[in-house]
Amino acid sequence: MSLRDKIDNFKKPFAKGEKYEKWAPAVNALDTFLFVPNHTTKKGAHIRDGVDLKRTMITVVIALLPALIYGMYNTGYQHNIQTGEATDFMTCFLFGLWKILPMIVVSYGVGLGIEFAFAIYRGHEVNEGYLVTGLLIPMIMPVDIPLWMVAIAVVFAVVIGKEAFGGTGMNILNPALTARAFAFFAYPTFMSGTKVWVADAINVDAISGETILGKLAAGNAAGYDMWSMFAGSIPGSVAETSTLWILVGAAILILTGVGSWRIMLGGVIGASIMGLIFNAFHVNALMEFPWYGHLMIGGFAFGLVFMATDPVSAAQTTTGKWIYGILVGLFCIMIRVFNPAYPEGVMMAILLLNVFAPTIDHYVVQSSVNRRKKRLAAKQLKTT
Amino acid sequence: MQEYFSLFVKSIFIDNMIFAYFLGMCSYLAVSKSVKTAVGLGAAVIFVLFVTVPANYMLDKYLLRPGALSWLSEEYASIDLSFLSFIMFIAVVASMVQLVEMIVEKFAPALYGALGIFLPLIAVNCAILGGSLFMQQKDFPNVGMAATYGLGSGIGWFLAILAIAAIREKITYSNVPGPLKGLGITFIITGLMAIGFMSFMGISLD
Amino acid sequence: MIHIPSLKSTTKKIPIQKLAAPNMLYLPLTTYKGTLSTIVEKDSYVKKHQKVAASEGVFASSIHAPASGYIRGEVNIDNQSYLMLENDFKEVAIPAKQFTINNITEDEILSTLLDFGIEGSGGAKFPTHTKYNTGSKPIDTFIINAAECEPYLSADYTLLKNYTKQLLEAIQLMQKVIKASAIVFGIEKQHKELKPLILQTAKNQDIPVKIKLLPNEYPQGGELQLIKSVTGKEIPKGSIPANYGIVVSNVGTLWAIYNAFYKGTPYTNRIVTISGEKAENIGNYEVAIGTPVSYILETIGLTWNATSQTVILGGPMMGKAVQQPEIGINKGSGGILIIPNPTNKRYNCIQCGYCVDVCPQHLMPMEFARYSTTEDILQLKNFHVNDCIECGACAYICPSDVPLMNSIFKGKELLKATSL
Repeated sequence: MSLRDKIDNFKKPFAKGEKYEKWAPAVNALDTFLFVPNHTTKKGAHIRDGVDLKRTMITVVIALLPALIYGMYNTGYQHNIQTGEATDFMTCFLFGLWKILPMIVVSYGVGLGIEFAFAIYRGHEVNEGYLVTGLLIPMIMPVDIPLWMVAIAVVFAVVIGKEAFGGTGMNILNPALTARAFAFFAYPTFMSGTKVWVADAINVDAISGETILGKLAAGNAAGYDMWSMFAGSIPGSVAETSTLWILVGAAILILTGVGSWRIMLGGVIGASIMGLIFNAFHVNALMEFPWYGHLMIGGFAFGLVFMATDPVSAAQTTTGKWIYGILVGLFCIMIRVFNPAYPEGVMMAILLLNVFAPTIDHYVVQSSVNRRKKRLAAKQLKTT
Repeated sequence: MQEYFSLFVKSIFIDNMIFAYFLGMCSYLAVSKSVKTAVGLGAAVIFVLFVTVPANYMLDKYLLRPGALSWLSEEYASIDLSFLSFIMFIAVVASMVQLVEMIVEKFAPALYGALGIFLPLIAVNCAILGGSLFMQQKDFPNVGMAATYGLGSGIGWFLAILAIAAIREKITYSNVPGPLKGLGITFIITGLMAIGFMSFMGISLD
Repeated sequence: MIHIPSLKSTTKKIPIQKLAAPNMLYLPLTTYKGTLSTIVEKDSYVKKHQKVAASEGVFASSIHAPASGYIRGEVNIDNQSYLMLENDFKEVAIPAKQFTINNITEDEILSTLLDFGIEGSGGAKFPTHTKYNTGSKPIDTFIINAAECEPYLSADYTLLKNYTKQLLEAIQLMQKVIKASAIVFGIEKQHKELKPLILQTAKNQDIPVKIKLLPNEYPQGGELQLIKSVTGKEIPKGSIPANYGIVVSNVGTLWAIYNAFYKGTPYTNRIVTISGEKAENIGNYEVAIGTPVSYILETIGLTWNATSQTVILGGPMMGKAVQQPEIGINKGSGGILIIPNPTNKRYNCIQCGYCVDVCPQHLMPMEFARYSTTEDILQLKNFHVNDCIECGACAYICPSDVPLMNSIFKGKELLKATSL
């Protein structure tokens, strides 16, 4: 008896008119989570590209893994190097795993629980979209954030940010960033400052946990060389420090066509332009910090690769994607430099552009519709 | 020059009428179903704010504030007419709105029809009166600053209604839960948009 | 434009085989525009190649009996009417018409095209006599559409490979009518081995032809896309290419033209690719028009079973899933494909924009899906739903399997109903 038959047997009491009909969406959700179901097409294309939504989401999760694994190592490394413990890979990795795994479990547990509850209540199916969101949320939180805060942020992001709009594909803001922004504004002491970015920094005085952007905003020097910034052996949110491994993820996303290279490139261009402008003025430490350095520190690379490219909340049109990407880069550096309240700008920049993405799309579409009309009119004039 | 620019940017993004003060919500919620009408109303608000704030500034400076009448003669220097500011400001706003209404009706009858009751209601749009009252409170040194502030606030309001109209057009096809359909989800969107606009909170441009 | 695995490698190597005519033929009466009316009595006896149904007007057409036998009346299958012809297997034919190719006049060619019921074999079934009736318009490019971009299908390829000389003769004949200054073959790169063969044969026959190798992209064989690739001209949908000095003809149509003038037989047979993962004895077959799908399935050793397999009449992208096994092969069906039931799951649209990237007409298919659900006719018109060529590239690529084609068909119906 194959797994397929077992599931079919299990599903029998949930069929229409049977005893547990009400629970059918939940069972179906579980089923489609494991198998891709069938339906036939009568007209139109009868064959399909192999890439479906499930595979798209799995691709993103795979692309996230290098950064996540490095993040686990870095969590341990940052802690151990300050306490003077061993800094070999396994020790650090296991330390990080022990810290981060509970966050991932809580995020998936709470988020998927809500998704299943909504699936039953509203009679739709559970999408694979949360697999990505649920992994992103722990990756962009500080390592010592209490688990109940993670849970509450997840509840806010999934219920208000996503399910209120009707589930996957309908939300306007990126759910992972919604969760982070919620935690950021609700529990600022756990989300910013000098003591949260390295494990145990809150309890142990000897550990300083300041991020580079925090130091720069306070007017100090960065204190790390470019290679550490690029490789990621610097304090920061769990998995956002290593530009190197994020680039590996970006390569996976671009090669599989899942992530939009236009947005990524646009963001890099925008941030470079803004960085160069500020370099020309260099009034404070943040402005003096070289523009290529800005691309490597903080969550810029992570946000641009994994969150700005989220197709649901980004612009959809080709031109729109360029505009959106460039503006994310511009605003990110601008917020970093101008806004003393947020040393890190990428989260707010992406959320702000999420708000304006439909507007950008509206005008791009409008202009292409008008162009088409004009072209058609010109053609007709010529033929008659 | 720099203070004009920083005031302009500040009034658009940091002191945004909608996302920082939640002013002018009634027409913001009611007329944001389609981008086209939202743009029309937004443009009208920009115009009215741009005209009424400096007009009211002059009114305030030469008529209403304590000692404002001293330009007439020294003996009026002790008169304080500021208790009249609400009524005077509203009068100016209402007459400006009448003017806008006449212009729109003449040159864009379709937009006039689409805006409906909300065009005359700009007169009681709290963002407009709020603009004038903030102007009074902020005590600008000259009329140019007041005009800049009016224009900036108007553009900020315009951006807000434009963004929400585009979002609402996009989510027309979303499967929003029944109880949240319509205004409910619009409030949620506004809240989430305000989170986006918090990017600018705390920036001090001097 | 989009790259789709071609899946032709097996069938393109197999030579054309002939499929015997079945016991009962279902001659399709639906044409490009309108329906043919039967001109023979029920239960009367008709000879092979005798005209049995015809229509009038600009888009006039006709259909002929592929075999001798008795007319058994009209039948309606799946909203299309078919004329039943019972084969008596006696092959009593009317005498073949003789043409003196060297002295044939333009009018004679055009009237023969009409009389022999020749229609475009690419799928749209546009009447060939109307297409070639270009009047005084100067034609600068005569494009031979051999792109055959639909996966699985290789009927045009095998024709070009095995009947190169005959097809070039047909081209030469049609040149008498349109007098194009250049003849260009549009061939996908995956079939580039045909290039030396065609050039050599054309040289022997002293016909100046050019070959344009096209990228292996779908829908390269769409008329508008082919014209764009070959000449660089972008023609709005719904206009006649002849107005721009271009005539496009399909390889299958040219074969029908050859048979008409050199063999004197009307359009009663065509080449059909039988292929697909669930098919047996795959290959290219010469099949009589009107042969029912069920008969073809039996001949290749399969049975009709709607639940375990999908049978497609035409290509996998634009063809129709067969609902009733009696449906007869029509003049535009290039293939019979037997494939496993498609496995797709409908997810929510995530606005990835893949459909916009692949649309050969540069439209926004996801907008059609929105506005068809809400029946917003004005927006459908705004986004130019009528410019869609129904190639199905958007539905193929969509990771959420949104039924884009269905919404496009619905959108076009809505727009037609309101005459906006």
